[in-house]
Amino acid sequence: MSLIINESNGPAGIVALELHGALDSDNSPLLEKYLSSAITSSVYMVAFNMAGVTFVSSAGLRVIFKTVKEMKSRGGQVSVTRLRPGVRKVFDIVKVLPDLTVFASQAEMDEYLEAIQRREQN
Amino acid sequence: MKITIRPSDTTASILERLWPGSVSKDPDSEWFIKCCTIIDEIHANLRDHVAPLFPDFACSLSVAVSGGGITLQFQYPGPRFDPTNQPDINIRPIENRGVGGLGLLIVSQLCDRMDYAHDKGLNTLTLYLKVTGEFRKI
Repeated sequence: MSLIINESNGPAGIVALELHGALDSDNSPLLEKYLSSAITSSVYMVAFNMAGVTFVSSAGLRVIFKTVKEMKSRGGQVSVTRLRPGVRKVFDIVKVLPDLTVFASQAEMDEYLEAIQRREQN
Repeated sequence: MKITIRPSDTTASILERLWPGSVSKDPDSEWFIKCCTIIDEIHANLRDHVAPLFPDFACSLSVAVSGGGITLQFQYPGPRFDPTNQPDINIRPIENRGVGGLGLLIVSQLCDRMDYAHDKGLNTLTLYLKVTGEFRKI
């Protein structure tokens, strides 16, 4: 049950990742390492598509928290979409959802990202 | 069912021994996802904090199904540390949140009962989860 990270070719300044697998204590360092190189100084948003995440533990949440802190410190944001019920339950327990922009569907997220991109271009 | 967990085990390998193929067959079963999360939390805690104290650390994990629920019992050597009696952690706001204590918070919220005992250097942590959905045979 490894973690697969697929990065979409999105607008500049946005890191959009599709995650597949378990965000557990074994796999989370992989995501942390990926993000540390993907989040450059020009990035203002990190978007996680969580549809493929089977479960998340505190190790995975720490990576999410670290990303949220980093993005907030530069006025950016972190979004998540398509949380499975079991993953959402853990997000609810640690009360992280207010710090995230949450989308129910990928289409909703895409629309939001496009709006942000238009705003940035203007 | 009873298995032995060692620090070198991955959570995936533990789950595969307990419920072969379940991750791909039954990814949204509530009880299963809770068990996956709890096992990863406890395993990671033991690996990071207890195993370094012993050259050949091992933990036994028993899984039993009865009375509409599932019981996970971890037994491991080590000093007394009662996870049922830990102070509340400050989880808001995120900027001020520390990194410790989240795992135990998650475990305590996912299970319906958590018991702890320490006797002659052996810790016994027993977690009980009610199962409301259909229970696939373990």
